[in-house]
Amino acid sequence: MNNIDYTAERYWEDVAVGEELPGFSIELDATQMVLQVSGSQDWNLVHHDTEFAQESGMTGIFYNTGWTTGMLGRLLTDWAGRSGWVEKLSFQMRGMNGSGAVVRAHARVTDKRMDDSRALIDLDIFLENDQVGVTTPGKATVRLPSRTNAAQQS
Amino acid sequence: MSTIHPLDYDLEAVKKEWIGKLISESAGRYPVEYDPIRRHCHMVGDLNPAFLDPEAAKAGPYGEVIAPPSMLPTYFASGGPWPPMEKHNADSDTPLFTFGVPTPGDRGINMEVSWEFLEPIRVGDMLRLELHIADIFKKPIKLDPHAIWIVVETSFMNQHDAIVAKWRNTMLVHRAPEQVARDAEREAAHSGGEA
Repeated sequence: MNNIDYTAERYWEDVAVGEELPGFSIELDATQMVLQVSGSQDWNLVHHDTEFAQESGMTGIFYNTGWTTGMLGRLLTDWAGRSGWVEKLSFQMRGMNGSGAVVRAHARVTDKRMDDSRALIDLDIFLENDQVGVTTPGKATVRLPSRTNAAQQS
Repeated sequence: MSTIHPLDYDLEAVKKEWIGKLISESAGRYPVEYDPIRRHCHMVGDLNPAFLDPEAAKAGPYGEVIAPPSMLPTYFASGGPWPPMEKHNADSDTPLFTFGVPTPGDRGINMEVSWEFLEPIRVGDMLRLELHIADIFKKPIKLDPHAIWIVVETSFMNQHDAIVAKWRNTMLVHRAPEQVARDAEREAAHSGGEA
């Protein structure tokens, strides 16, 4: 379990550029490998068959795109609060997250702006592991409720 | 699975035939359902009740359970991974991840992903997708000097024809080391013949 209050709002005005998101870590043990396949329904052998992955030129299995997207999505929705909405999410898979690694998802606020009265937060997002460092850098934009907008509309 | 020797691979012809092509207009076999969302959340330890708890979600901004934005809408907008549907490339000799584009190799690594999430995806929604090939190019990697990169763009629509998400994806398709070694013998003979 975690200590997140999913019913709480996070308001645009309360976010500061440079703020770090709490993030979370997951150890890629055998159970996690099975959960990856179950949750994504991605049956490509490179993600669960070590012999096939090595025969393909990899050092071992590596976790798939559905899992990677899910990790980064959770990173954002854990933080965005009750009404926060992830508008954009992009990332590059530059390194592998493989068995035995401990993967940490984390992010930093890089900008906050109003766009046609949409209260937006831009973030740099990352997956990194204890074996190779940052494997998956990316960017995201989250729309948050704004007290200013609410006051203008009332 | 068939493969093509790099000397026989005409990249320009492949680009001419495939770039801009509508590859798929598939519709989901099932509506958006609770349990696949639950399995997705379990995969990454996500406990958000907006995705998991119908009672709690009633009090939320959407009034019902929605799919996490990070749950690939392809899951609900295509034939699904199993059992295979005949019209979804079941008999093709190209790997599914190339979207039918011929490539020298048959091993794939996803390299870059970009999503725009426009509308909530709710339990019960019926999704469909339209997928186009946006680009095809050759860019060597350490494993394979003839690796092919395929970029696709996909729009996802719900039963009201609202676009709920857009996806741009870059897939790298390479040869296994054994195939690279096998192909190299002919390439060496070819370049020797040219000298």
